[in-house]
Amino acid sequence: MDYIQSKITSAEANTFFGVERNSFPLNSSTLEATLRYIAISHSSEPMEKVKLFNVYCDSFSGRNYGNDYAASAEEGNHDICIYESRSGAELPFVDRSGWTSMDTPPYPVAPFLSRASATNVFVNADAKRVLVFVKRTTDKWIDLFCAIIFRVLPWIFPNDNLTDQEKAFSKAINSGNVNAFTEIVDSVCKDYDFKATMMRKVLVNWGSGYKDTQIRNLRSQYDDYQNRINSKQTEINNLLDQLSAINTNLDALLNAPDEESTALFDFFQKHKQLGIYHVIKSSSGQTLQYYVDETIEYYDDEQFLRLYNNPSSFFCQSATPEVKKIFYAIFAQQRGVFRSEAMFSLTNLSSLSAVSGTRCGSLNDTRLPHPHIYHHACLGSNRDQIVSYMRSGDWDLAIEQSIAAAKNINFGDSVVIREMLNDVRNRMDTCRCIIADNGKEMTPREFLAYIETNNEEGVQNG
Amino acid sequence: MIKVIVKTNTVRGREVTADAETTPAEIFADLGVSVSGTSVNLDGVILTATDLNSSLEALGIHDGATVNLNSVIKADGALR
Repeated sequence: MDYIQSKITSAEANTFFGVERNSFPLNSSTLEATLRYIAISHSSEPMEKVKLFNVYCDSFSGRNYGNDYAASAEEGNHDICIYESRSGAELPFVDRSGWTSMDTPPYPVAPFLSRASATNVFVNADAKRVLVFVKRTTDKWIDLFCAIIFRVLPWIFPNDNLTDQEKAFSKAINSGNVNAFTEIVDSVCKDYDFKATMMRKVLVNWGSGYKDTQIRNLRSQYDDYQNRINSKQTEINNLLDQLSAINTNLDALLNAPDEESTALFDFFQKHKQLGIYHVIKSSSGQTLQYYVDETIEYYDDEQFLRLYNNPSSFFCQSATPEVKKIFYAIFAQQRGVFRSEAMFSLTNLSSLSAVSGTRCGSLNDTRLPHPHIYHHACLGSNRDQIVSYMRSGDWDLAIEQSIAAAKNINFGDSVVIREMLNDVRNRMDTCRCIIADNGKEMTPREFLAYIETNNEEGVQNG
Repeated sequence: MIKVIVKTNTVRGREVTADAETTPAEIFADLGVSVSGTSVNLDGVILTATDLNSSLEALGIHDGATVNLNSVIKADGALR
């Protein structure tokens, strides 16, 4: 038929369906209108959800076999594939399983179409695929194809059940009645406003899509800038910490009294628990590593008893029965004290810090390594006091605070206490690190025997 | 008389003149300084509770001496 003008292939309908005029199969508005008519009239979905036929048009050569085209049609997503011979190649034949050749009664489709141009037609009802090979797709051939299209879509038109309208459709094409054809194809959309629906589809929420995208972009940028600010803030905080440390040292130096040539010596002379381990000289001054030889006597006895009396506490879970008895005798009954060694570092007279992993070497057999200091170089809240004393030039108080730190054990620190339990367990027979209440120095094993003996005697003596 | 140089968290380098019978506890009390929860040492020797209430003479300090009496807070090692 001549070029038709129907509502179903109008510009508004094309926009609605998302199909451009120049992409009509075989550039035929008759074929496109026919396919849309069938799709709409046999769909139970609203117009917006109707699935149109997907048609693929190409040329074929003699190099490929028909079964290759059939396999490709099965795997692809085109409902109808129409291959035209441009070079006069012989029409391919398909004998692949599942495909029916439409060339014999009761559906001599191929002979019918061959009136216009030699054609082979194959249908795979299960895969819902149509494969057409034609010499030339003339307007006449297209009209004939539209007239018999019901025959090649058995999954839509089973048993040849055509409505009266569909029969009238075929008759209109066969007779070239454009008006009748147009009226029939437009009947499925005559009350439908493609333009309004298309406008609604495109324009409603037009801004929100953009708005949502912009919101996502801006949030992403916000997070990016926030992360960069946090990173800079961390850098600033680190610099501030370094500045504070420098300031502390500076204050300590400024406030350190002059003529200190014998003061530190006098101080160390008087404090018998202090010993010098190592002196390091550098361009920034001198660093003195000194050790504190002290007894651990500053602790919270109630905190210890809470751990001791709770079978599921880390203390009870970690201590061997022997070590548990020793700790109880020392920290609950004050039957003895642990001797420990802790190392510190004094730089010039401006900063003081704890040193981990270091012992002077001469006290290994008689002192435990102080668990907070040796294992973690951790001063806890002693640190603030030391910094404050150093800033005001009171290095003597700072060193005495380090002595207080060496006398302290915090039973709230499970990591440190576990390490101390291990240290005692590993020195049961080798280290005389306990001073019993009789004044004698003992290994943990000796102390255990001592307290057990004294407990029995106490029982015997009533 | 004995010259005692007192240093605590709140008092720095205060010089006090005391007689041999004075106790460290009395010296701190006169200065209005509490030593509860602190570690006190006299010329490097840590004083027990008994020592705090012992006379300077009983602690081995004689007339004419100059000694340092320091007090620092008993702080805790950190929690991990």
